[in-house]
Amino acid sequence: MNIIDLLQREQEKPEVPVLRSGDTVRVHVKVVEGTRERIQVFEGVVIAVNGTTGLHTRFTVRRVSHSVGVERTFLVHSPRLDRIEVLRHGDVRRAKLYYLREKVGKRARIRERREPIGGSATINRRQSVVGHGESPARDDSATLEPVPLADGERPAAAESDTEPVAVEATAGDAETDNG
Amino acid sequence: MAKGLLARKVGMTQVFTERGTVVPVTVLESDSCLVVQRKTASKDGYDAIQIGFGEQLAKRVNKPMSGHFRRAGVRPLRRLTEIRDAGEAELGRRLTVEMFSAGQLVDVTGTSQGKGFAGTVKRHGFSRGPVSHGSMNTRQPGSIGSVDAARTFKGVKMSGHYGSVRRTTRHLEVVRVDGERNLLLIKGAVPGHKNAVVLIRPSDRAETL
Repeated sequence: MNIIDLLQREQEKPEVPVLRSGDTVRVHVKVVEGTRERIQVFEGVVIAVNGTTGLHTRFTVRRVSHSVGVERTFLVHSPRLDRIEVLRHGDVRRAKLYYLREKVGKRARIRERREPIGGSATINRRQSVVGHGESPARDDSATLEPVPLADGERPAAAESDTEPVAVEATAGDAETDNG
Repeated sequence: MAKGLLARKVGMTQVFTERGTVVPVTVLESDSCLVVQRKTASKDGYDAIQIGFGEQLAKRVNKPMSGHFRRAGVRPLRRLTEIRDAGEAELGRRLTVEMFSAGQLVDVTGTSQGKGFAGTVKRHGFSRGPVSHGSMNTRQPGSIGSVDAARTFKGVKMSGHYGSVRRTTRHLEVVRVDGERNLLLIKGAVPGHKNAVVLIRPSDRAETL
C-alpha cells in the first residue's frame, strides 16, 4: 500500500460520526488554559463538510452566540477534538449552507430529517484506522483496497498520535456577521 | 559518521503534532543508501565518502562501474553522490534515516520539477496584462530594451526552459524519523518530483528558530 495513505490512515481516529450539512452537532474541543487542559463544547449547525473520508476531512460549525454569528472549522480527525455528538439531522437541499449567514431567527431554521438518507443508519460510524478491526468498513469501501496489517507497531503509533499533550483552538475562531 | 543521506521523495501529506496542530510534510524514504567508496586526502586529494542509492539492474551497469560496486561489496546502485569530509565510513555499510533526529534542521538537494519551455510570467514572475477588452497582451513579456541601445542586452529575462535544475531547500525541520520503515518526514516542500532521489544533509543552522 502507498506509504502516504498508510501514514494518513494511522492518524485517523478509529471512529468518527458521519456528518452531513444541516446536522446539529456538539463538538467537544480540548482547550489549554495555562497548564490545565479542559474541554469546551461548541454546539451549532454543520454548514459545510469538506471531504467525505480521510485525514483531511473538515467541517464547519455555525452558531449564533449573543446575536453574533460564530463559525469554527474543525478537522474531523484532529486530536484536539475529544468527541463529536450529532444531536439532530437536518433536512437540507444543499451541501454548503452558506446562505444561513444571511438568515436570522425563524428563517435560519432547519427542518429535522425524518428518513435516513441513503438507507444507512443515522448515526453511522465508520472504522478507518489500520489495525482497528479487520478491514475498514467505510461508506465507500468499494473503491478502497483493504488495509494490510504488516507490523504490530502501527496501532501503537496511531494511538500516540491521538493523545495530545495540549491543544489550542483549531481555526478561524470567530466570524462576525452584520446581522 | 556520514553527513548525508540519499532518499526517494515519496510525496507530501500532513501530520498532527502532539499539540494538535497540523504540519505539512514531505515523506522521504531511504531503504538502500550504501557507502560505496572512501576517498582520502592522501590518495584522492580530498576527504570524502561516496554513497549510492536505488536499485539498478546489473545489465545496465558497465564493466568499470560494476567493478567499482564489487569493490565496495554492494549491489549496483542507481545514483552516486560524494559527501565531503564525512569522516570514517565502512564500505558497504547502510546509512539509515536514524542519523537524523526530530527537530533537527536539514538541507535537501534535488532536481527541481521540469516546467519545460515556460513564459516570462511563470519563469520570472512577470505580471500579466489585462485579460479582457481585446487585450491580446495577457502573458506577453513587454519591452525587452530601449531604442537607443539599438540591441537587446545579454541576460534580459525572457521565455525559455524552466525547472529541472539542481536546487537546495535549506533549513527544513525534521518532523519525524521512522527507522522501522526508513521514512523521514520533513516539514515543507522539497525539490523534485515524486520518486526523485534527493540528498539530505544536516543544516548549518542547529535548531529551529
